[in-house]
Amino acid sequence: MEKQVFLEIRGVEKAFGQGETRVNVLQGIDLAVYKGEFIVLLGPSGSGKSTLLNIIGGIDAPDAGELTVGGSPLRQMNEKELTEYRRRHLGYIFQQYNLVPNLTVRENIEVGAYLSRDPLDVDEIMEVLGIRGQQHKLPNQLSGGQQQRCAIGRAVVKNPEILLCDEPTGALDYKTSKDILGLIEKVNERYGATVVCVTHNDAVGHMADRVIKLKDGRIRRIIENETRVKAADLEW
Amino acid sequence: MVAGFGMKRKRQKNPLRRRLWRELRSDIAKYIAVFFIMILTIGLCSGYQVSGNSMVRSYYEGFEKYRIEDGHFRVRDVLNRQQKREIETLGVKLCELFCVPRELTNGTHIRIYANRYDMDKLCLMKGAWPEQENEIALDRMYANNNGILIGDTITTQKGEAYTVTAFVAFPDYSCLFENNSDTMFDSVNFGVAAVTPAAFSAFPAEETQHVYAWTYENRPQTEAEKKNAGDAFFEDLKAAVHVEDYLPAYLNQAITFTIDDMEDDNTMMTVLCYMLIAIIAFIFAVTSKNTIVREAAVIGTLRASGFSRGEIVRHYLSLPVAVSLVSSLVGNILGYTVFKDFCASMYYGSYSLFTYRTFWTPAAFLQTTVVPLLLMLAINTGVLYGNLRKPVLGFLRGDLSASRNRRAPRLPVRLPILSRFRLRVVLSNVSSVAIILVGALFANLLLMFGMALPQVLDHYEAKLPENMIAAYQYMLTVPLSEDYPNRFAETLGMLSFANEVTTENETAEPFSAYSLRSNDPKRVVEDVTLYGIRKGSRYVSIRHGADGVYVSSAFAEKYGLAVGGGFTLYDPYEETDYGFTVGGIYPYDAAVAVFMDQEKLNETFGLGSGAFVGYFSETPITDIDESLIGAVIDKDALSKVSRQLKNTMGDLMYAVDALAVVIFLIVVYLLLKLIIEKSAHTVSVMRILGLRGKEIGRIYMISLSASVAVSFVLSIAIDYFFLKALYKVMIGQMMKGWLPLDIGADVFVKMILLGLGAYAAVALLEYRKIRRIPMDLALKTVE
Repeated sequence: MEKQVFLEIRGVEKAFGQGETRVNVLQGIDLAVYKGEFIVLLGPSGSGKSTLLNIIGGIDAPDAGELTVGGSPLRQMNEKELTEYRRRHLGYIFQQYNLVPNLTVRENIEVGAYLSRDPLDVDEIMEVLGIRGQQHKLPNQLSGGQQQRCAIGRAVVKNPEILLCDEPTGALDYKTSKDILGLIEKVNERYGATVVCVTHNDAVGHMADRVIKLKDGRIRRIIENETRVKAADLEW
Repeated sequence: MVAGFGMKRKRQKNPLRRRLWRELRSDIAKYIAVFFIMILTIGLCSGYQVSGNSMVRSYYEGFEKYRIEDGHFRVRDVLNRQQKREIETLGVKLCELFCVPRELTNGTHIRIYANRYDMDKLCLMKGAWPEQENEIALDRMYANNNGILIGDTITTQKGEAYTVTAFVAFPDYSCLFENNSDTMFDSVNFGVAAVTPAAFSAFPAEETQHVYAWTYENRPQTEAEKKNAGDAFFEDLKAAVHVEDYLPAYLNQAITFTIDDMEDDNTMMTVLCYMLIAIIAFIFAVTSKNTIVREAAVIGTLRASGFSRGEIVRHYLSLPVAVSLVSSLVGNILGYTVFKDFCASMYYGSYSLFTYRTFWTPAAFLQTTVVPLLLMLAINTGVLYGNLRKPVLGFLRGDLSASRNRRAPRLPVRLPILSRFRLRVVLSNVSSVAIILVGALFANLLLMFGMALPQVLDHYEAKLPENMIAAYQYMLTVPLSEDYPNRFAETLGMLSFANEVTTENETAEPFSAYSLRSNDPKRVVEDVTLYGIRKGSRYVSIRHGADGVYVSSAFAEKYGLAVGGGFTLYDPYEETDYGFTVGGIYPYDAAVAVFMDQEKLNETFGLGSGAFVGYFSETPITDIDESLIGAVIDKDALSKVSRQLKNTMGDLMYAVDALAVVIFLIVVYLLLKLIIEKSAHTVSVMRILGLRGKEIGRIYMISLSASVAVSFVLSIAIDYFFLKALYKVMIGQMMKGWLPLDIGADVFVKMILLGLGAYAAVALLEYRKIRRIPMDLALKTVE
């Protein structure tokens, strides 16, 4: 079956600062992401992977280049349209979870469901993520792993076309990290969401369809994995 | 040489200091708001305390400086030398204070005295003492209220014309009560004046009232001593001469009202000041807590690096304390300059006060500056220490929640998620909403007071016609000076007097009356008129055979009386207590009065069957000799209270309203700002997730607005009941008579509109801020 390009990035550039302090964070990125694909953006600190993720998420705008999602160019979108884009198409998972502290686990996930026209079942998501027993707890009553599960729930319940993960395991221990990666993998396989995951952990690249290696704002290498390693089998 | 171990180095200043200025600049709006509210509070409180204390002190000094009387009495004829000597042997010094009452062509009344040089000496406020016989010095307050200027000519109804040369203050008339039994003073329609002794001697002798003032050789100090001395002197005086009127200074409203009012105000202002400071302190406390949460990572790092808890507390205390210090300094300077004059002018606008000197009052400084600063320091230190007790790791992880075990209250899942979100916003900001409620309680109490009082006066005046017993009440002059050998002869005399005061007016209905005095220690002593109503009265409808007496609605409301209850009144001349049972409440708000069967009253007080002392009438009575009419109580007389209070307090009430709105504005601004800051991170996440600006705004603004609106309405309801209770106590302690607290719905509507209008202005500002919160707050450091 022919792969369908879902996200197309052409010549994207981004710099921060001015004059002598100017840093070119992204220097001409070209990339096509296919529908349902699991992509890992790998690179050291300062390589530009998070900036690229934020541009894909419509949170930041490129200085040059084009980015098209499902045929719609992001650059032409105004603030309102970008909000709609995030609302309808994206799920976001942060390193620091970013749960709403005064909402319970269930309510945090329901906020995600509210944003979607075609949300998944909240109870089913909690069941899949193993946090149903915690549904009435506030985020500060949960462990880091449980909080990240909840954050995944909030992102996934929208039934998003793209799931953006920014160092989703960066704040977690080895075992919990593997659990969380397993859940993201499940979401990709079970719900068909395109996953773009930023990490600096090489091992995570093995579970992806493709690994995009970034350095100094450029794509240095693209590795296509013939077979994806299950998250549970990853070692680092 | 390289600095090494064991070498002493100059101790480095704490580098954290550099953050203070930046923190101040980054949060300048908050500090300006706090600065402003503190200056206003401390300035007003210290201004009030300084002017009040200085005036009170000057007033008491005035007792010696102006030799204020210890009392005065009136006799029919001039005392001869022998009588004077006899009285002075009772341990007093006498002084003539003869006066002549006059009505001016502008319809007002003045009492003209000869200039005093011995006792109750006058204080020259402006102009020059009268020297010619056609010159007069007028009370400053009365002149102001009637637009009389120095150089103007005033003319009496009898045709005497005087040129005003001076404005003066009479120390025995700091408050212009025409009669001591008046419910309220009337500085518009009544004034006092002084002419030269030569000019005074030109008045006809029969028009002169022979008043003698006295001072004790050993002046009593306490209230009890004053009462005992007054009672004892009265007994001795009665034995020496026939007294027409007797009034010791401690019972003379013209002398005591001002000082009582100033002292009461002082207490009220102190309480008010502390309430304001407490609100500010709590705002600081909440702000400090918010700062700790916001700066958790910094604090954690500093603590982990070796900074002690004390150092951190001192660091975070520095700005609030600095702001408090500077604002109390500025507040005090303003208090001693601008606000002092403002507060003094309020008293000078009501009372005929003599000049005062400004005294540095350590107590005022302590109350308005030291105590608030200590309060501020204590609350902030407490909050900071309490919060910094949490483990360093908690700070580093940004987990400062009070308790991990605290469960979130369950909300019905059926409710839409945004509704639950709004409820959660309210629940997580309960402490801030509680402070808004406290602020609203305080501001609304002021606002209600400021808005309701003018309305109370308006309503009282508007309802007077329907509240009056009759359009005219004539109180006849009972010939007190007759010396009856016994009660029987007195009754006969009264009856013969009754024959002289018959009228052809068909609407006239005679009534008898007797005056007793209230003796409730919690309230101001006042004379209570007991009306004897004849059977079948067209004016007062009471059940004549009923047990007990009827009390006026004013009496019932002021003293909390109900049917079946009892009360006691005191006869100061007979020194007898009279107990009564309330048989009914008669709708009459204009006076504290008792209504009973005429015959029963006459019998109780030995007035003789059929005796009467006045008439109720629908139309003016024209066929009784004016000299036999002591007083006419008509609409004009009854509206004296409201007129005077309006004159005195009108502008003050607007100032109170403005203060209330400003306080509410600042409290709401500070707290909303705080809540929004606290929620900034969540708002940022919401934006990334795709919630629209309007949706996020509504989540916060609807919930917060609803909380503010509920707090506001709730505070109005609480304040209403509180004001009702407070009003009763205030009127009971400060004023004779009664003004019903009649607050119309429009006051509540205005209050809600004003309060929510102020909130809307602040909310709009904050709403814009919410929509501008950037998304990168929720992201990890941007590369």
